[in-house]
Order: sequence, then C-alpha cells, then structure tokens
Amino acid sequence: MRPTRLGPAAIAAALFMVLLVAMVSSGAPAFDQENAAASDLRVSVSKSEVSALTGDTFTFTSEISNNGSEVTPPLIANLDFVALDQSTYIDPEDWSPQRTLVVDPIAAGSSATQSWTVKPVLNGDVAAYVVVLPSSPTLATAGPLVSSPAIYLHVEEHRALNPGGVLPVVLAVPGVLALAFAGLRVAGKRR
Amino acid sequence: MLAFYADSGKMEVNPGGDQTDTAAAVRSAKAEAVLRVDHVTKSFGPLEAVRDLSFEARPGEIIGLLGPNGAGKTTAIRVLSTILSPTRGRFTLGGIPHTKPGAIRQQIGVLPESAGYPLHQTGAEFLRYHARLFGHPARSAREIAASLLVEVGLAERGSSSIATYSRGMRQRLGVARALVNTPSVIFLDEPTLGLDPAGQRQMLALIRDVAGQRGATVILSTHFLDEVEEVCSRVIILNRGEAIAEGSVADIKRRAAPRTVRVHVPPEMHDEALSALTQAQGVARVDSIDKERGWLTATFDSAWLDEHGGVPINSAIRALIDVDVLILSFELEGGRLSDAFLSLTEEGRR
Amino acid sequence: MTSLARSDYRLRSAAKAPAYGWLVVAVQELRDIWLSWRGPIIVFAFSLLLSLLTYLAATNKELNIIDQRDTVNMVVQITLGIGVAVSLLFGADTVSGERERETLESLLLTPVPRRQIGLGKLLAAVSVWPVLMLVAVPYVWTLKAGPGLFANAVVAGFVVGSLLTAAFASLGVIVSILSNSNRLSLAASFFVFVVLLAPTRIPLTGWFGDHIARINPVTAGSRFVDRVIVTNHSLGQEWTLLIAPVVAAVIALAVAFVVADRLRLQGGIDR
Repeated sequence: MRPTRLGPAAIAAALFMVLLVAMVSSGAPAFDQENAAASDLRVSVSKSEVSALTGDTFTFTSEISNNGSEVTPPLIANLDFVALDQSTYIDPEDWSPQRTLVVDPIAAGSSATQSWTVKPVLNGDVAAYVVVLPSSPTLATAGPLVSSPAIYLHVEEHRALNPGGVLPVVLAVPGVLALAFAGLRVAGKRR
Repeated sequence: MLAFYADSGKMEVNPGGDQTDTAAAVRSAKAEAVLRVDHVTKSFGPLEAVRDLSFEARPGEIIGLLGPNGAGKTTAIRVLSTILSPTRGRFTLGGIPHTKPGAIRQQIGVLPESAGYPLHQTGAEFLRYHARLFGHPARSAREIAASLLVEVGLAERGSSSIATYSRGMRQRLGVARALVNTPSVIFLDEPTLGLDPAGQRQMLALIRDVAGQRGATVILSTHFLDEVEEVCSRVIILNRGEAIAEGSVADIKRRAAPRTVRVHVPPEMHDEALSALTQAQGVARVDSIDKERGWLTATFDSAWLDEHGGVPINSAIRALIDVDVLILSFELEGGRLSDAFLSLTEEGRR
Repeated sequence: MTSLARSDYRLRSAAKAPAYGWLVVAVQELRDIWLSWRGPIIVFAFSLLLSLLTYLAATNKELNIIDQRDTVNMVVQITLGIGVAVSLLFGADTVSGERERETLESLLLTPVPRRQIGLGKLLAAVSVWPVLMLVAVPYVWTLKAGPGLFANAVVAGFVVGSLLTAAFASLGVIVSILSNSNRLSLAASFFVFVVLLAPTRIPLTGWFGDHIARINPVTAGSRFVDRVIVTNHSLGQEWTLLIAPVVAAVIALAVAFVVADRLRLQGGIDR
C-alpha cells in the first residue's frame, strides 16, 4: 500500500477545524457556559403553602443548586408576588424588605441558600416565587429564567385593636381636652 | 322749676328740672369752654360731609346736634371724637389740640350711633374691659363696672351675656361704657333710637343727670326734636354739612315762621271766638279754618311777641275766657322747634 | 333714677392710656378665643383628627406599609399646616370682623395706641399654634419614634411652625386692617397661604425647583422638617432652609407694625 500525502487544501481544512475549535473554546465559551449554567440551575423553596394573618411575619429559604459542570456567574434572586384573584395589586416592597438578593457564583455541584422574610399586608390568596437570573449584561442571550415553585399564601385579615400601643393616647388626648375646656368654660362663667 | 340760660337772658319753663340744673346752668354760663371747634371741615374726596363747623361748649351744657339724614351729624361727632381727622380747621378739648387724639380720647366718652357689642361677653365683663383700656387697674375696673351697672339700671343683668339684652339695655350699657373714664365731654349719637317711649324717657333722664351731676358737657345728636326741647340748653342745626342755626332752644323756636295759635271751640261759639280773638292783644290776623267744627287760628304780630316775651298763648286764652268761650283745645303753631327745624332746613335746601 | 356722685362740675377725667395696652387687648382677645367655643372646638377637632391619623398610621406601620419616620413626619406636617392656617384665619378676622360686628369703634375710642391694639390682636391670633403643637406631642411620642427622633421632630416642628405662624398671622392682620369686608379678608389671606402651600404637593427638583423650594417659606419649612425627621439630618445641617421662613416672619411683622398705626374705622389707609 502506498502512503497518503496531505495536500495544501487538507492542511488548510485541518487548520480551519483547529481554529474553529479554539474559537469555540475561548471566544464564546461564556455563552456556552451561561447557557449551560442557566439550564443547570434549580431553585427550590422550603415551603409550599402558608396560612397567615395580615401583619404576621414568616420566613422561608430558597436554595439554588448548580447541577452543571461549570461555576455560575454572579446571580440575582428576585422575590415576586402575584395576587391569585387577579384584581388586587401587590406592591412587593410592602410585603418584603428583600426585593432582590445577589448570589455569589456557585461552584459546579454546589448550592446556595437565601433566606426571605415576608409580612403579608393584604388578605387574600397570593403566590410567591423566587426567580433567578444572571447578573451579566448579556441577559438577552442568557436563555430562559429559572424560577422556583410557587408558595401559596392564604392570608386572612388580622384586626388589631391597639396597633403599636397607640390606643390609650388616641382616646386620652381628646378626652382630656374635652374635660379641660369644659372646666375652663365653667370657671370663666363663674368668674 | 325754672332754668336760667345766661346767654339769652330769658327765663324758660323747664318742667322736671331742679335747683341742681339751675346751678349747673349758672356755672356753665360762667365757665370756660371745654370744647372749642374752629372752622372744622371734613371731606371725603369731593364731598364735604362737614363744612366750616364752629362752636363752643361749656361744662354742664347739653348741646343738641340736629339735622336731617346726611346732614353730617355723625361725621361731626366722629371728627370731634378723633375717629376721623379733620380735613381743615381745628378743635381743642379741655385745652388739648386735636393733633393729640390719644390725649383727647382720655377726656371723652362716646356712644356711637351704630354701636355693636361683643354678644358673648357679659355686661360687667364689657365694662371691666373698657375700664382697663382707660388705664384702670383690674380691681378698680371691677368696682367701676359694678358702679356703672347700678347707675344705668343694669345691676341685675350684669352677669348675663349681652346677647340676652334688649335694645334699650344695650343702649344703657353703651352710655355706661361712655362714662367709664369719667369724661368731661360726652358724645351721644342717637341714644334713643329704637327705644320705646319709656326707654326714651329713662335715657333722657340719664343724660340730664350726667350733665347736671357730673358737670360733663353732652353733645347729643338726635332726630327727635322733643328730646332736644326737653334736655338741651343749646341747639346746633346742621344741613348738608353746614351749621345753619345755633342758639338756645327758645332762640331757634323764635326763628320759626308765623306765631299762630290754633284753637278749637264748640261750633256754636265759633263766631264769638272769632270776634274775641280779633280783639285780643297782639293779634294781627284771625282765620276761620273750619266753622262747622269750630276751628280757628290767630296769628300774632312778631314785634308785639318780641316785646312781650314771645309766648302768645296767654293773650289768646285770656281773650276767649273773658267772653266765656269754651276752649276744647289749643295748639301753638309755628312756635315749635320742629317748625323752626323744617323751616330752616327747607331754606337750606333752597 | 340715678345716684351719680355729686362732685365738682369741673371734674377732670381720671383716665389715662394703660401702660401695657397691648396686654389688656391681648388678654381680652385670648379670653374671647379660649373661653368661648372658637379655640376649644378647633383644638378638640384637631385632636380627633390626629387620633384618627395616628391610629391609621400605627396600623399601617405594623403592616410595614409606611415607615416610622414618615409617620412622625406626617403628624408634624399636618400640625404645622393646621396651626398656621388657623392662626392666619384668626388674624384675618381680628379687625375686619370687628368692623362688620360694629365693635371696632368703641375700641378705637380708647386711648390705647393703634399699634398696641394691633399687637394685642396679633398675639391672640398666634396663640392657637403652641396649643396645637402641645397637643401633637403625645401623638409623636406614642408613635415610638425613639428619643432622638422625638426631640428633633418636636424642635423642628416648633421652630418652623412658630416662624410660619408669625408670618401668616401678621399677613392676616395686615389684610384685616386694610379690608372693609371680613369675607374678603379671610379669602385673600387664605388664598395667599394656599398658593404658597401648593408647591409642597409637587416634587421640586433640579436647580430651579430647589431654589423655588428655598425661597417659598412654606416649602422651605416643610422641607426642613422633612429632612430632619425622614432623612435624619441634624437641625444645624439644614439651617439654610430656615432663611426663607425667618425672612418672611421679619418682613410680615415689620409691615404689620407699620400698617397697625393706620388702623381706622374704615378699611384702607387713613382718609
């Protein structure tokens, strides 16, 4: 059998393949890595259903797991609320002091836990969930966002008769004034 | 009791007066003027509300300020009480020139025509407040208020709110307020307005007492001519801002048009009365007004009246009595202050 | 009928101008305000309003809808607004109201100098402000703002309120002296107040807005209180915001001093 000699075209093609592999591995590795990180992320929450009164505070934790082989970029975890009756407006700032949390990069195979505090301020049925997204500017090409399962909140109204302990002052000041002015009037008439 | 008016030298009947009034009148005649008004004019733009007003007032005098609506009486009082400042002219009160209004206010008391009162205050509180405003300390202000309430007949209502006072009571309270500083000159602008006859009499008696016993000079602005005749020693008649007449009540009356007596006799005695009056002393003319009802008038000669004291009643009555004519009523026409007033103001209008 | 003392007919008046005529006038005006229904009704209604607002605010505070500092700021700002407005209206009624009730003439017939009459009435007009501020203190305290915030809030509110009250009550007295109609006096005074108050409802940002906020005594005072309470600045840190209220108070008092000397039975300047 005669030995095969590599011609110039073959060499060019091989060089091109090598170049292509190098480009993919260096030029767009982030793209590939982020894509890979997003799809490999899982978000779970510690509660699935909560019954509470307005004004009651409860906490839950979310866990972001990196099931991929690469470390994740810095992430943003955002807590959202949705009123299930579709007519009530939920202002997230009223329900939780933590709107977003920044999560440090998670190594492959590791997870990160976040703690959330919620204080329902309106009665009704509300769904809360945590959504995770990369903090990179290339968000548009980062792929689908990752969300936790929803936590179903059943909130009933709590009526506090003496919120913040103000009731004594609220009643006493007008009462004292009424007595004082009545006394002044009587004293003035007597004089 | 007779009151002697030194400036006219005439004796006038003043029923209801007493020796104090006479003595006061005498002192008044001899005393220096406490108020001197010298050609005072007050203009509001082109309108001269008071023009060239001049007069003097002595202690104890009650001077009536008469005039039709819009004559300038209230404006004159407001100028003299320093509420308004004169456009021209000057006046002094107790020797104090009008350029020192604060000092003048210490000497005067005023009952304004449109005096309002704080309805939520009691009468006593109101007087105490004004006594304090005239410099009296709190304790003496209380005493002054109590004393004045007694003087004006409001002692029992002093602790009631002014809102419960009648019109007459408020006027009396106003007079009390005008006396709170023991003034030497008191200006009363329509003090009897809105009062019933009894209230008017009480007010006039109070005014007489104020002038007589306190020796204060009273300037009384009024529409009611019978009030002027009853209490005033002198009269100033204003018309269109100008003083058109000044003098004693008698002097003003004498300036009225004809001195006529109107007599009512039984119809059957009409002719007899007509004859008797024609022959009466001083009668210049006798007219039959209504023979069927028995009305006649007798007009006296002016010169005869001036010579014989100006009162024609006695001569006419004597003439009818002498012939046994029954007099059903008689009335002096043309000798009333109202006649003089109307005559003078009509002249002014012409 | 009467028993007037028989005294020398040359009686001189024993009266003189009182040494402190303004004090006599002020005391009587204060009695008229506080022993009648006017002052007590206003203060009582104000306390009911604060009770309602405090209760609602405390409820919302528990629900975290409103911040604690915002709550305190709201109570102080409302106290400021009502206190200044009421003083303004009392000032606007004090002379023109007496004219309409025909009680002014007897006051002008006393030997008390006109300026002292004006001063006494002004003092009575501003009397409602410290009472309202005092009523607000327990409410501010009970909102559990904490000792530091409580003291700063009360001091800031009192300083700004006193300056604005002096300015607007003086304005009311000035308009009242010049006006023959009480209705006009009240309306004109309140209109000026509303015009100056309106910019507090809109954000004043940027160079121009910031200068407007500083020149307008109401917005400047409101901003001062806001920054001390909400932004937790010290009282000295924002002293420049007090310039406009101080200037307004000084100018208004000076003009009132001049105009009061021309107090007359009819409105306007002496005729």
